Amino acid sequence: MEDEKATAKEEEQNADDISGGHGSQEGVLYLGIDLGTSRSAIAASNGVREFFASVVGYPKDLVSRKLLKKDKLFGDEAFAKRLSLNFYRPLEKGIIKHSDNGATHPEDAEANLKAASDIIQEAIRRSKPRSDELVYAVIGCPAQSSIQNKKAIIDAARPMVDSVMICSEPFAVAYGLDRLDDMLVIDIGAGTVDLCRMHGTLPDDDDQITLDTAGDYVDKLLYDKLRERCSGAQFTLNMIKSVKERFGFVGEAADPIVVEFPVAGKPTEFDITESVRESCRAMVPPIVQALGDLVASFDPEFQSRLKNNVLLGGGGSQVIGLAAAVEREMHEKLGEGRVLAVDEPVYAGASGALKIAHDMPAEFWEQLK
Amino acid sequence: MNTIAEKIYRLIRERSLGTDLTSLKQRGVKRVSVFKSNQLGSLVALAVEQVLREYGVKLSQGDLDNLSEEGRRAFISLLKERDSYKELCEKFEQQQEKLEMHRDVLKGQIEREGTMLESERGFWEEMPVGAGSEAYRVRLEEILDRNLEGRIEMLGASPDARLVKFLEEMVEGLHQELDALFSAAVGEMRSEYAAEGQKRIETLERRVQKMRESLDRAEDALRRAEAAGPTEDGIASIYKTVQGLTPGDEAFSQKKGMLEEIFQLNKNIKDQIG
Repeated sequence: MEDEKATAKEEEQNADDISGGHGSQEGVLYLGIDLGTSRSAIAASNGVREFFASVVGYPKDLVSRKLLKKDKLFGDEAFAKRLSLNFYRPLEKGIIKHSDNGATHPEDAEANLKAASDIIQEAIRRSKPRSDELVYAVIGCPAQSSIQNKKAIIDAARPMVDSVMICSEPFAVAYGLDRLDDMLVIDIGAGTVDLCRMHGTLPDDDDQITLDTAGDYVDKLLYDKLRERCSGAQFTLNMIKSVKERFGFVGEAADPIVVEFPVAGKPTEFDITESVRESCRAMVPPIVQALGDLVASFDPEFQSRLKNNVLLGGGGSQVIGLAAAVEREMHEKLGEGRVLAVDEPVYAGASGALKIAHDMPAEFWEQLK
Repeated sequence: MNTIAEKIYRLIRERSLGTDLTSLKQRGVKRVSVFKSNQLGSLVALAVEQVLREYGVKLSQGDLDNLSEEGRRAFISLLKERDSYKELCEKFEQQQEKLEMHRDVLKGQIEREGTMLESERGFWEEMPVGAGSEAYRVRLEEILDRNLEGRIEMLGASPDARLVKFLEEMVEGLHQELDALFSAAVGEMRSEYAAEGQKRIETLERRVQKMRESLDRAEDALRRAEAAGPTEDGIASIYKTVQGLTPGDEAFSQKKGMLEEIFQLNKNIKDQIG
């Protein structure tokens, strides 16, 4: 028995020595990660802030592998080389594709889970953690994502961090800005629009609404409109996404939006101002409808305060004039409203998650190791 | 027009000889001159100087010297950087090899212990506890039967039928008692053996479990090392210790409650994951 104990202790020590002595960390690195359908952002307590497209590609064959000299490519690099890659955009509507119905699509579920896992690990790697530091991460995920999806995210992060927690994305935005009372947060991503009512406690399911009329929806709408209106033009959904990210607006256009698309191989100019305006505007009514639902089910005494404290964040909030358009629609449908756009929409979620990580007591991190 | 990089490359090519060892041997060359890094550095500095002259940049001798010196330093620092990265890669590969070896050793141990455990289990489950005792029982019964036959013979040619019956019943009774005694003894032996076997199996199971945990740790370490890759030291966090909310923080009690709830939700998920 004594021998056994000694052997086990020796093995443990051996494993610790090899892994760099996990028990002897110096320093604590906090990470806040916003795992988005289109982009993932990371903010770390060593000052690193980065974002990249949530895509990953694996070389299709040995030749591609030799040429690319990498096993995995991420973000813009993966986009640029996607023809030589098995290309994955593993998140859809804010969750890992097939993570809820893995039993019916086991192969797709596995491939997307691996891709999501690689993206999370890449985000952590980009934060440049030191090997001798404890790494504690908070990952923001859509307000109403399923338990399976949350588990999948935790499993993906676990190999790279010492302890990990997940929290609702719009809550992270609100926490990061210290707006915890009587506030409505709108987080517009590519896959989902998350709305969250903050009233001094952790929001529960009734306080959160997730819509799928987000960035991807606008891209598809614009794509369909341009197919109708730009006769003979050749373009992909990816090109349309870039156009929207560059020119997206609602309200009055400062200048006409003229883009070039190839027609029978020849670059041809098209004025797409109206199509862009209509497509981006399509996000507004569902948002205001959902805001109305959250307001209506709140204490009537505080409804007015809620309507006048709306915070707009997320990559999708960069559409020019969106805050004003939502405010106008609120005045029309809900009688009043005041919408404020966050300063750094891309990093608002990650910064909030970082703040949560920083504030979380040590014993909680310990228990989740 | 050539770029500066192309010019530098051309200059280095012009001043260097490219050949293989076989041709050198064929030509009877036994010794070759090899550039030291600082010579190469001077060469690059010279190339930069020439390029600057070609581009008509007027620089004083002092500036040129400084530039040459800076170029040389930059080149040397690049070489050092390359060496340190190479060293880092080697260290990483060594660490990975070590981890892989450790994992393989553990796997081998688990396999061996597992086989031992299985054979122990089989031995104790099929322990022929009754085999020896059964032979004794048969022998005793034979002795009893022989005794009975002897007694009957002693009664003569025409024994009293009632006496014979009495003897037969007595022997039958003895048989039954013998059976009962043997069954009780065998049961006792079995439970003693079973307890001993169970103890041994449990010890082996604990050992295998510990080894599995050790293997999991080794595989985790390997995964972490692979995922991290041969990265440089990274950037240090501004925190040396775990922070956490402090009573002086704004909205302390409100935030504390929220953080507790987040933790609880995550704890529930962790428990479900197992």
